[in-house]
Amino acid sequence: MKLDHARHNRDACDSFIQLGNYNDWVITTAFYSAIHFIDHKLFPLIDYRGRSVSDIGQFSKMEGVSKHEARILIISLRLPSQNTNFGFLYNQCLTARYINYHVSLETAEKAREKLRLIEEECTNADD
Amino acid sequence: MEIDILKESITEWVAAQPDDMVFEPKDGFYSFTIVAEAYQKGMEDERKRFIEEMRLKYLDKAKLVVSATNELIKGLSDRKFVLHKFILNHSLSNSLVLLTTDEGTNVDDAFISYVFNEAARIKFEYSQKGLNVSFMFIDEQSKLNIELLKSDGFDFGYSFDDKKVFDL
Repeated sequence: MKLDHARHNRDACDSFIQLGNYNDWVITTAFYSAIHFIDHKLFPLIDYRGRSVSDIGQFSKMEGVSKHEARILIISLRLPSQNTNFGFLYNQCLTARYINYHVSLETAEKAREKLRLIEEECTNADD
Repeated sequence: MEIDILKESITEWVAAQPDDMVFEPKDGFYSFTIVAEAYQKGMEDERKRFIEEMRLKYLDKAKLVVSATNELIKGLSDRKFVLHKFILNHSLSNSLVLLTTDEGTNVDDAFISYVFNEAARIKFEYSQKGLNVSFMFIDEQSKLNIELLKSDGFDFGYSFDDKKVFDL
């Protein structure tokens, strides 16, 4: 289910790249594809305090932070190889509104590359 | 040394914050901790002391934000990355730090691979000290929507170039 959603959003990301002129949507769809690849890879898990965690919603409640913040935490602990790729996507999504969604082509292309790296690691045991 | 100026500036800024900014509810609600502490401490007779305690917590957390930011900017500075502005959205429950960088830095792989690993490490380290801090990065040359930043709660700005606080 999560993989389907991840791939659906990835395909939307590719469509926006092909359309051109929608760089803000490229980074948004890349990010919202990445979160599903990451969740697919990580959950369920036993967290750093030995608690059983079924999904990101539960972990976010346990930690008392938003789902996005919780995901950053769990990636740093369980999938640190993706800190940079996911961190980049999250940063672009967080900041796009503060620059009136004027996202450069270079940033959009970088976002797509980061998504490719996330997908590769999160699905390599599935295929 | 520069971080001492920032720490000093932020201490002055916290001291000037009105109580209702310190106790600003998040999404319409006060945190469980604040409500529980207020209940525990009783009403009017303890009110002043409670407010003072909350202000101290607010200041302690602001100092932790500066300390966390210092860890990050020291590593960036060692790697010759230049930062221009520090813009803060601070509350008792979470803190967002926006740092502006040289043009092109945000898509530089050397920057990306260092800063997001380090930001994640610092975020976890400080979460164990009770601080929920996040870092964001924007090119200095981008035209920032200051009104939106202000409406989202960013209300402290410090320029590393001028070494002083600026108004948002």
